Amino acid sequence: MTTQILNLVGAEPAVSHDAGGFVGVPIALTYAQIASLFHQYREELTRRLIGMVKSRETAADLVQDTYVRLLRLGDRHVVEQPRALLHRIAANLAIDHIRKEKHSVQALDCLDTAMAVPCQAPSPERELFSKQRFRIFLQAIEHLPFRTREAFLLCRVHGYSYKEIATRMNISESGVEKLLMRALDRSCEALKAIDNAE
Amino acid sequence: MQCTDKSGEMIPSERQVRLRYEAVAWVIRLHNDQVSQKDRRAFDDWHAQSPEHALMYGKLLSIWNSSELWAAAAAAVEPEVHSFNMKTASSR
Repeated sequence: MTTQILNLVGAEPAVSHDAGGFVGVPIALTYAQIASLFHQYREELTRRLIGMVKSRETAADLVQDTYVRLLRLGDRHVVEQPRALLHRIAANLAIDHIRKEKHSVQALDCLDTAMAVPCQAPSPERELFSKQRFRIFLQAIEHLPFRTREAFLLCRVHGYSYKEIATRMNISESGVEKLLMRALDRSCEALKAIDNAE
Repeated sequence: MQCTDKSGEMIPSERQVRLRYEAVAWVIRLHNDQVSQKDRRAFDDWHAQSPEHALMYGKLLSIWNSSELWAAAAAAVEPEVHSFNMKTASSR
């Protein structure tokens, strides 16, 4: 299976060395993941575009167009910075829109702001939240039954395919799925401790 | 929908429990790079059933893909990474 690397993120390095280290790990997006990414960033993108095009309705349309563009990239591309890519696409669409409209000088002033991806530096709250999640996940992983933990780590840390894990652990691929399902389920369950406390 | 028992604890409804189980299963199924077209179509149908399906899937996928979970997994393999710069895990 060939996977194309999309070089749409311009100046960003192939694997980022900044605070977004994990975000910078190239991932091949499935349609489902694109849908989820879109879901995750929809509000953020809409807010940004409202600021640019000064219209909630137009912003919503442009965000929708962003999604369609992303889907068109197909599901076998490697996207290195999904968030930056989404912002880039959305900003370009908004710039096109503003150029077409050319209805006011004020709108063109937005071009400068349009070119910068908003700062990703985590707030202290976000950082604390993140540390809490990290600890909770680590604890959950350490408490997983041995084989569940083994399958999970082979999958997530070592990047083994289900087939490779199945061979290595001498179980079927659906057996691997069941172990991974348990790992995800426990991770989700563990988060309830902080979700409920909020 | 969730309701509370006498002690005020949240009790997920049966529907919620089932949804979560299905969403977990789909996240894991689709993570497989060998996933079949048939499964993809089945997922699309499942996902399109209701906003709750889509939301639950989004929630589980964001946990599965979260940088904190990756970082925790890496730390579980190599305890020395445990103290690694948390900034790595704190941005999304």
